[in-house]
Amino acid sequence: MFTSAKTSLSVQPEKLVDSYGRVSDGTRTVFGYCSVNCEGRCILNFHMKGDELVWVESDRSIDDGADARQIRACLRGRSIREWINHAERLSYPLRRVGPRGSGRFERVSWDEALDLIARNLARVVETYGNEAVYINFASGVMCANIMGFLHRFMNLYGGCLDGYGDYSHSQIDAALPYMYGARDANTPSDVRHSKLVVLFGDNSFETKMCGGGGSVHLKDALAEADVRTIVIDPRYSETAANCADEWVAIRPGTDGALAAALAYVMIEEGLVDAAFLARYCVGYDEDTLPSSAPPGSSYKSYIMGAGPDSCPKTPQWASATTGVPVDTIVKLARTIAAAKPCAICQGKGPQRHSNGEQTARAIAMLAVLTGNVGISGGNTGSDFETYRFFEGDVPGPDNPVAAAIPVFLWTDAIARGPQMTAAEDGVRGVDRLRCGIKFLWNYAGNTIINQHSNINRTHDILVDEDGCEFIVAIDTFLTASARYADVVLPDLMPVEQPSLIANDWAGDAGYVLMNSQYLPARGERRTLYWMLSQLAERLGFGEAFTEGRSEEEWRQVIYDQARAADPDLPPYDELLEVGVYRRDNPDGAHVAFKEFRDDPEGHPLDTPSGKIEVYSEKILADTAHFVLRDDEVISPLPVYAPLTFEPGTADRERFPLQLIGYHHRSRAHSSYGSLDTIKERARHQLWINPVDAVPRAIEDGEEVEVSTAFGRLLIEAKVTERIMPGVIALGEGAWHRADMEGDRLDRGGCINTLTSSRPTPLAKGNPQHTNCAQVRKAG
Amino acid sequence: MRSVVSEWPLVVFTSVAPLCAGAWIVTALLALFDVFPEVTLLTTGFTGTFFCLLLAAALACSTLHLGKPAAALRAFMRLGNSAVSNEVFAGVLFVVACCLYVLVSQNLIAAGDMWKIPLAFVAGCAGLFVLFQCLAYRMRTVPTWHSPSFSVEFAVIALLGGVVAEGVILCGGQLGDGTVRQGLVVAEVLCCAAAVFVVHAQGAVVAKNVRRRRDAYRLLEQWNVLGAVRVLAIVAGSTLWAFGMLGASASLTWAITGAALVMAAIVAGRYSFYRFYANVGLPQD
Amino acid sequence: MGKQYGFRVNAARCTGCKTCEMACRDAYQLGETPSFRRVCEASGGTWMQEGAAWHHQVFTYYLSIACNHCDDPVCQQVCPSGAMRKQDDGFVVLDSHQCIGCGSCAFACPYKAPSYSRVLRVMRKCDGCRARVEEGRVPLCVEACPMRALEFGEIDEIRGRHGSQCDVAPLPPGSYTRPNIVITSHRHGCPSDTAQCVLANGKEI
Ligand SMILES: Nc1nc2c(c(=O)[nH]1)N[C@H]1C(S)=C(S)[C@@H](COP(=O)(O)OP(=O)(O)OC[C@H]3O[C@@H](n4cnc5c(=O)[nH]c(N)nc54)[C@H](O)[C@@H]3O)O[C@H]1N2
Ligand SMILES: Nc1nc2c(c(=O)[nH]1)N[C@H]1C(S)=C(S)[C@@H](COP(=O)(O)OP(=O)(O)OC[C@H]3O[C@@H](n4cnc5c(=O)[nH]c(N)nc54)[C@H](O)[C@@H]3O)O[C@H]1N2
Ligand code: SF4
Ligand code: SF4
Ligand code: SF4
Ligand code: SF4
Ligand code: SF4
Ligand SMILES: [Mo]
Repeated sequence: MFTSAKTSLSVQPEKLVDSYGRVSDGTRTVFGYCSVNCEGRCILNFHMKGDELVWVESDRSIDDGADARQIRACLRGRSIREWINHAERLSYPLRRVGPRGSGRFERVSWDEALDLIARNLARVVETYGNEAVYINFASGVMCANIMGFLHRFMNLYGGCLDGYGDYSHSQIDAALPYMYGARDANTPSDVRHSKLVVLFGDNSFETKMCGGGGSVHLKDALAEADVRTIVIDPRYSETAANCADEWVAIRPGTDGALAAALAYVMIEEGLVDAAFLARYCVGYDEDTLPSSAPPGSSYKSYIMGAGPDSCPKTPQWASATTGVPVDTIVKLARTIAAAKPCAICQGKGPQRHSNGEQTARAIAMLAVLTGNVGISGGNTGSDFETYRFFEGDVPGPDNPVAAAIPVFLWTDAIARGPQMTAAEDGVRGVDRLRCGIKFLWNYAGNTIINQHSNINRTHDILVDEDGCEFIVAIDTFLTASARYADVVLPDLMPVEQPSLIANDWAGDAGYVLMNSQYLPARGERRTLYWMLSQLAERLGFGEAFTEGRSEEEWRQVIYDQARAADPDLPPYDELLEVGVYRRDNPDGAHVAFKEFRDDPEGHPLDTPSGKIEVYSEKILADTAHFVLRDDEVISPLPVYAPLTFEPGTADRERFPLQLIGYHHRSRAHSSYGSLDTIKERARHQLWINPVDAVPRAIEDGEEVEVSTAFGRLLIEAKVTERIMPGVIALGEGAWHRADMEGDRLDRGGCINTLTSSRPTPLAKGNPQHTNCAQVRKAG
Repeated sequence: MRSVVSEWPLVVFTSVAPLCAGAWIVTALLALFDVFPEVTLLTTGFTGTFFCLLLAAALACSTLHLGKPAAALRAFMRLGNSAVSNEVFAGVLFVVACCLYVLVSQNLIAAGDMWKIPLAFVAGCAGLFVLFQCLAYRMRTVPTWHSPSFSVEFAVIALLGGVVAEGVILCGGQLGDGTVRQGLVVAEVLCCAAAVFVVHAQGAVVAKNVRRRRDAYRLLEQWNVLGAVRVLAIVAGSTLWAFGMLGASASLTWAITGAALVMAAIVAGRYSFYRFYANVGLPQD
Repeated sequence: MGKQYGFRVNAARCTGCKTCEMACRDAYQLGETPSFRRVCEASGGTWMQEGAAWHHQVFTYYLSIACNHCDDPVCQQVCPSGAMRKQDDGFVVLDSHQCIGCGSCAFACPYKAPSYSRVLRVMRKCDGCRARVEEGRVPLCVEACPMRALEFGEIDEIRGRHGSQCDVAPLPPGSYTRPNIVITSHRHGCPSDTAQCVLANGKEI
C-alpha cells in the first residue's frame, strides 16, 4: 500500500537541465501539496538545494495507471515556486496608515500588531458583544488543522456571529433537499455505465483539474465506455471542447425554460418514466399532489399549460427564451428519454444566478422525469459527488452565539446589521441581528473585495470606519481584501508548517496527505496558530487555547481523533513517513439514493413524504415568513423563473449583453493570480463572439472596457466563436486594480467590479453569473 | 509575423551590402569591358574607401541582430553548414578582398593592366555574395522567403542600387560622356522594371501565404500600402535620378534626391521582407 | 543510427490546461524564456441566427507541441554555427554554448520549437529531457500531464500502436520536416492547411 516518497527518486536534478541554466545538485526533497480551493488537492515534491527551492515535481508515490491515478498537480501547482518565492509576498506585520482601502501601510513589530488586535477585539466585544465579531468566508487554505483554530479561538472567547452557506453552491444546497431530502449525486466514474451524459453548466475539465481528481476520473470513464456526451452551456467550455459530442448553447439563466420544454416533449410523446414517477414521487401529476396543493398545481399541469399561467412550455416557447433552436430541443428531449440509463448532471454555474435555486431543481427534474435517480449510470441532476472518508478538524467548543447570517450578506451585516431579519435576509438563530459587524477576521480569504459582489459598493461600506471598526487580514499577499484591513499579518503557507489535508473532488479516489518536513520560514512570517496563541495569551485564555500543545502536537490530536472513528487509517507516524494514504471508494462508485430506489419504503428519503418531492409543501412552509421582492420566485414546483436584477441595472439599451463568470484555469479564484508565468500563458480575457465584436470594431487581443450598472473594467478581448452571441464571459478571480479615490476603473479585470450584491431569494446566495453589460473598445 | 524592430540590423545590412556589391559589380563591368576605363578611379581614393567602409559597416551592423555578436565568426568558420554560413563567408571574403584591392589599387593601376584580375576577383566575390544572399533565406518551411520573387529581390536591388550609386558618383565627379550615362539610365530602367515586377510578384506570394491567419486581411492591407509606397518611390526616384543624369539639366542634387528615394524603396522592401515572413506552421510572434 | 524517440499527443484527452508547459518551465528555469512546449488552441465554426435562436457548428481542440526531433530537421539545416545538431539518439539538441543567437532556426522551424532567451541571448530548446530518458524515465511534461494526453517512447512503437498521423491543423503537413510526433485526433480534428480552423491563442504560444 505504501510506497516511500523517497525511494522512487531517480532523477538527478543536475541532469535535468540543458547546458544553460543548469540546475545544480539538489540533494533533498520535501514532500508537500497544494491546498487552495480548486476542488483538487495535489501532491508536490519540492526539490531543495540547501534552503533554496529549485524545482517542483508532482506525485511519484505510485506508478500511474488507469486503476490508480497519480495525484498530479495542474499548471498552478507546477508554478508554485513562483508563488512561494514571489517578491511581493508579505513578510512583516503591517498597520494601516492611510484611509481604509488606500493601501498605505507601515511595518510594525509583531508585538505592536498583536497588541493592537487584542485591544480592539476586547473593546468591540465589550462595547457591542460577541455578535459584533465575524469570521469572513475564506477558502484559501483547505487544511484540516489550520483555519479551524480561528473558530476555536473565537468560541473560547465568547463566540462570534456565525455564517452559513458559501459562495460555491448555496443555491443548489438550499434547493435540492426540498426535492430529495439531500443534495447528492453519483460520482463521475459511474458514467461508464451511462448511455448518455448530459452536462448542464458542468465544466469539470477546468474546475476539477487535479490529475488525480474529478476531471481525469470523468475522462477515464467516458473514454472507456465511449459514452455520448452533451454539454449545455453558454460557452463552449473546456469540458465541451474535450468531450462534447454535441454542444447546446443556451442563454444564461434559462436552463429552467429548456428543462420545461424538454419535459413538454417527453410528456407529449409519452417518453417519461411514468412508473417511476408514480411510485417514487409526489406532485408530478394531479394524482400524487399533496392534499394542501390546489388543483392544477402539479408539475405536469405546469408544463402542459393546465396550471395557473396557462402557458404550455412548448419548444417554441423555450426557444425564444433560451436561444436554443426548436428542433434541437425536440431532438434533445428524445435523445435523453431514449438513453437508458442517462446521467444528467449540473455544474455550479447554472445555480450561481439570481434564479439559481429554481434552476437547480428544474434541471434535477429531468433526472426524475426519466427515472434516472438511484441507478448506476443515471444521476440525480445535481453536481457530481465525490468520495470522502477523512473529516478532521480542529476541536473546540461550540459557538456560544446563536445568530447566523448567510455568508453572502456580510456587507449588509456591516451596513445595516440591526435591520437584518430572518424574514428578509435569512438571518438564523435570532429574528433580528442585535448589531452590525464591528470586527472582521479575514484569514486566507479574498472575499472582502475581490471575490465578493460589487466591489465599488463594498468599498463604500468599508471606508466608513464607524461601520466595521476593525479588520484583520492574515494572508500571504497584500490582496485587494488585505488592502482594506487595519492590520495585515504575514502567514506561512501550509507547506511551510505542519499540515494535514484530505482529498476534495477526487471522484472515487480518496486520500489523506501529511507533510513531515517544511519549506523554510522566511521574513517574520508565522503560523496562524502562533498568532492566535499570542492573542489568547494577551486576552487571558492562552492556556485554554493552546492546552500547552504545539502545531505539530495539535495535528496529531486531530489526526488521532479521526483515526479513532476510522481505525483503518494508518498510525500517525506511518502517515508522517510516507506522506500519503489512499483509499478508493470501497463501493467502486457512489450511486446517490440507491437504497431508496431499491427499497423506497424501507429507505425513505429525508423529505416529509419520504419520496421525491416534485411538489414541495415544505419549501412553502419554510419560506412562508420570507419577504420577497416582486420578481423573485420560490415555487413549490421546479418551475422556470426568469433572472432578476436590481432595479435599473438591466436596461437592455445601455447593457445589451449578458455577462457570465466562470472559474478559469489560470487561478484558483484569486489564488495564484499574481503569477506572471501563468498570466502570460493562460490569459485573462473577455470572451466575445464575432457577432458582437464586429459591430463594436473589437479585434481579437485588443483591450476593451466592460461596464455594468455597478462599475467598469479593462481587459483583453478574446474574439471567439466559443461563446454564444449576446453573451460575454469573464473568468472570476483576477486581481482588482483600480484607483478607488479616482476613476475606479478596474485595470485588473476583476469581474466583481461588475456584479450585483443582491442575494438570491431562497439561499440568499451569490448571483454572480447574472449581469447585464456593455463592451466597447478601450480608450 | 514577428516584429521587425529586432531585425533592424538585418534591414540595414540587406539594404546596404547589396548596394555596395552592386556598385563594385557595375564598376567592374564598365571597367573590364573597357566601356569606360576611367571608372577604375572609383576603386581608388575617396570613393573606393567610402564603399569599403560602407560595406564593412553593413557587415558589422548585421552582427548586431545576433544574441552574441562577438561569436559571429563562428558562422564564418562554418562554410557549407548552412546557406547563412555561406552568405557570411562570402560577405567576409568580399569585404576583405575589396579592402585589400582599394589599398593596393593605386599601385596596381600604375603597373599597367595588372589591376584587371584582382578587380575581377573582387567583383566575383561581390557576385558570390549576392548569390549566397539570394539563397540565405530560402527556408523550405517559409514559403514567402522561399519564393523566387523574394530571393531574386537581393539581386535586383544589388543591381538597381549599384547602377544608381554609380550614377551619383558620375554626377558628383562630373565624369562620363553621354553614351555612358544613357547606358546607365537604360540599365536603371530595366532594373527599375524588374524591381516593380518583383514587388508585384511578392504581393501574390504574401496573399497566398497569410490566408490561414485570423488577421490576414489586416496584414494584406499593410502589405498593399507598403507595396504601393515601394513602387512609387522606385519609379519617382528613378525618374529624378535619370533627370539628374541626363541632358542639360544634369545635376547632382537631382541624382542624389532620386537615389535617396530609390534607397528608401529598397529599405521599405527589406522591411516588408521581414515583416511578411510566413511560416508553414505555427506563426512566430 | 540509434533509436528515434518521439511524442504522441492525444488530442482527444488534452484539455489545453498547459500543465505540461508549466512543468517544463519550472524544472528548466525558463524564467523569461518562451516555453519549450506550447499548447495550441485550434478553433473554428460559425453562427447562424434563426429568429431568437442560434444554430452553430463550433469546435475547439488543443495540441501540446514541443520540438519533434524531426528526421529532416530544418533547424539544423539553417543553423550557421552548428549549434543545432541531430544526435545519434535521434534527439535534435541545441548546444546553447555554440549558439550565436541568429534566430534562423526559429524562423525555419514550423513548430515554433526554438525559444530565444533575451537574458542569455541565445536560443534554447526542448532536448526531449534527454538526461531523464537516458535514465529510463519519460520526459517531465509527459509525466506531468493531468489528463494523460502525452506519451513518449520509441517512435516506431508509438506508430505501431497509434498510427502515424501528424498532419493536423494548425500544424503543417509532416512532409516538411518529418517530425517524430503522432497525433491522435480529436473528434473535430482538421487536416493541416485547412482554412476551417485557426490558431485561436496566438498570444499564448
Ligand atoms: N481552475 C479553477 N478550478 C476551480 C476553481 C477556480 O477558481 N479555478 N474554483 C473551485 C470552486 S471553489 C468551485 S465552487 C467550483 C465552481 O465550479 P462551477 O460553479 O461548476 O464553475 P463555473 O465555472 O462557475 O460554472 C460552470 C459552467 O457553467 C457555465 N454557466 C454559467 N452560467 C450558466 C447558465 O446559466 N447555464 C448553464 N447551462 N451554464 C452556465 C459556465 O460557462 C461554466 O462553463 O470550481 C472549483 N474549481
Ligand atoms: N463573480 C464571482 N465571484 C466569485 C465566484 C464566481 O464564480 N464569480 N466564485 C465564488 C466562489 S465559488 C468561491 S469558493 C469564492 C472564493 O473566494 P476566496 O475564498 O476568497 O478564495 P481566493 O480568492 O482563492 O482567496 C484565498 C485567499 O487566501 C490567500 N492564501 C492563499 N494561501 C494562503 C496561505 O497559505 N495562508 C493565508 N493566510 N492565505 C493564503 C490568497 O492570497 C487569497 O487572498 O469566490 C467566490 N467569488
Ligand atoms: S490548484 Fe488545485 S489542481 Fe492545481 S495543483 Fe493546486 S490543488 Fe492541484
Ligand atoms: S498537460 Fe496534458 S492536458 Fe494539459 S495541455 Fe498539456 S497535454 Fe494537454
Ligand atoms: S521541431 Fe523544429 S526545432 Fe525541433 S527538430 Fe523539428 S525543425 Fe528542428
Ligand atoms: S539561433 Fe543558435 S541554434 Fe538557432 S540557428 Fe542561430 S546559431 Fe543555430
Ligand atoms: S521533453 Fe522535457 S524539455 Fe521537452 S518539452 Fe517536455 S519537459 Fe520540456
Ligand atoms: Mo467555491
